[in-house]
Amino acid sequence: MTCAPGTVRRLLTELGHGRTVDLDALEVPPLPAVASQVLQLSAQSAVDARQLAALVERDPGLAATVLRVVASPLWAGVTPIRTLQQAITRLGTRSLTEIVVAACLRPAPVPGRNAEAIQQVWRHAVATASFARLISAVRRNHVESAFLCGLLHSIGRSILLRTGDEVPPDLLERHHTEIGAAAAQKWAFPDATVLAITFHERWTEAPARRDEAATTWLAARLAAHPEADDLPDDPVLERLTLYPDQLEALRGMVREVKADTAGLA
Amino acid sequence: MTRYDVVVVGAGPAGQKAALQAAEAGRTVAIVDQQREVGGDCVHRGTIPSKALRETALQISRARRTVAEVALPPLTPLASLLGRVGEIIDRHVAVQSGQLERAGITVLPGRATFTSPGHLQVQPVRGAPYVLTASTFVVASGSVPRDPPECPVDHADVLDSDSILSLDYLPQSLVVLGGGVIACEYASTFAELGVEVTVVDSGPRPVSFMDTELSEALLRAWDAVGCRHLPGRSVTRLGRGVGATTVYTADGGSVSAEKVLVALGRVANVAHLGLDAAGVVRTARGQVAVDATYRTNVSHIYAVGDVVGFPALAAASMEQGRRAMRHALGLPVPDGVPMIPIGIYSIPELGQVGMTEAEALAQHGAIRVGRCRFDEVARGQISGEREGVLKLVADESGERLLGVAAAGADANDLVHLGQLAMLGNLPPSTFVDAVLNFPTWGEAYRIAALSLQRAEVQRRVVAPRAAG
Repeated sequence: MTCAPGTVRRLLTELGHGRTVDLDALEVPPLPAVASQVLQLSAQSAVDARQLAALVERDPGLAATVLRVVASPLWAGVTPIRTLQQAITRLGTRSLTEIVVAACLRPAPVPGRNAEAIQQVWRHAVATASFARLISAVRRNHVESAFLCGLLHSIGRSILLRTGDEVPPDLLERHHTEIGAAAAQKWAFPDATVLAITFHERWTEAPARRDEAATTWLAARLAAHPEADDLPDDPVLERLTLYPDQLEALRGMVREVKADTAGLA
Repeated sequence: MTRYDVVVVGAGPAGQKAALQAAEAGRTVAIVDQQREVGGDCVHRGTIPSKALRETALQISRARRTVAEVALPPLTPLASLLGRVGEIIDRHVAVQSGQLERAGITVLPGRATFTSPGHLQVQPVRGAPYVLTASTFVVASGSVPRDPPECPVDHADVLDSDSILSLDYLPQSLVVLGGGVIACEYASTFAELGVEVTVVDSGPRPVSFMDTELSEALLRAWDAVGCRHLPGRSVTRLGRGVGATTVYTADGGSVSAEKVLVALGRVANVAHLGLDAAGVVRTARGQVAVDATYRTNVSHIYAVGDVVGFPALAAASMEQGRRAMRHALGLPVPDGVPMIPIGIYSIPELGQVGMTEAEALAQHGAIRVGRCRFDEVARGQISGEREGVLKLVADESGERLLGVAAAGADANDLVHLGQLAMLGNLPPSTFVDAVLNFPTWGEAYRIAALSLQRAEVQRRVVAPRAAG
């Protein structure tokens, strides 16, 4: 990703004045083609397993990630996985899609001013995605979109940090959701994802899909500080109707979340 | 510790009616519900949202019949098909909350647990638990989907009736496991929306507790939209694969689809109730055991609605709540079992009240049956709703109505007219003599009653005893 020196500061200053974000100035990268194709294939209908396998096989890095994930404690079965085809079959569409999208969005470890911050943001996003899925399951809701909402909730931070510009922390904190939502819109992600990115920090204001925004917020809190003393007092628990024992159970799943995301973080 | 005259656990249809009855009698009443809003699953997860989706399916179906071929594009977001469901739920909750508030009933969000027969602990989502005491407790905590071990629900590819409506997109194919009310309603709706639906049913026909002709009407409608029904198949396990989940059945067969809906019944929602601490006995199926007055083995604890099992219908639950509370308060309770209609919002609608033809024949030995096909009714011709039937079942003389069944447009409303006739002991000829509005579905009663008058008497065939 490239942009003229000082672009980020100018952009954030404009946002501070209530102007609309100009994504062209930021040059948001297109969603990697593999991720786009996998998303399209898996969301459309009955997925053609061979097509999906062919897509993954075309990208050796991606294929390696899939094999690494399937070898992680969460997925490892009695029979060792030897081929990509076996791995894909064991994972199923849902998990494969999540892994492929996550792998495509994972930042490459590049040296630079923000390298460590970028990796931190990514690890947090992956853990948030995993917690979001767990929260949805506890609430007996469909879990697929929760993972994507969690994974992308802080994509604005990644985008800004990856410019290599110096990003003032207060401006980053204030505007990352707008940048992230604009990018998700550009990538044509579902409405629920765009709304969760935009509103997770102020979920009570979400005009629609408020539960997804609230789930993302709670997942982000669990991913950041599962033992935070004030977590049981967060009003989001009332929105999601999660009782103390359910919250405690989620807090106790840090190990499962780590296992779930071992190959991605 | 706070004391009320009556504490009700659950703010669904049964709990609300029990609470309102107690408040009307001047008692202090609190309702504890584990959700943040009143209404129960009926409002928030079941009846209302599923009917909103069905309404969209019906509109598409009508357009297909009258205007042109209509097909939903791939990747249609389910939220867009649920229409104004959020608004409908909000309005419903506001109306119900208003009724409870006007009656002076205290609504306490929280999870209720008996710690003794006379003490109920309430755990709010946030904050410390507190204890309520009461002279009478009513358990109306509803039910939750059954999660059979052979079909583990993951809420991703294998869903239940709680999670199916939170799907992001309309799937291309769906296997529905079950042949009961929920299975048939969702199978109809998704098939009408263009989803390739297969119903895997352990029974011989869908909704097998209804009149056979209603099941047949449903099967014809399914056939017309390409929905497959596989009767007599018990599920043994599920297999996950890329893009599809496969359902394996005991006969060695299998069927695959993008998503699977497990609709194999519901179980009583008693997980957190602490019924053992209260000394309340449950049935072998886990439901709260009650007598004919809905009283449990603990004299001041009653139970109503889905938590006591059959028929688990909102209308029946409301009446149970009312009757239980009247009994608890020493008020007169109507004699006998109330006549409760069964309404299924499949496509077509299936409605029934009183006996089925088979039940009437078994009980009375000889009966008459009259029918009206909807294509004989002017209203059916005008609206294009020509697939449907109204069926009247009477005794041998044809003078006493025993049951009414209907399949087709507004069937669930239509059976009410027959129900009132049965409650008022009116003979079927009433529908011939009475003047009803024209053109309306009511005309179907006149045609069916005339058909009944002409019908031959059907007699039960008794198998001859073996000689010797």
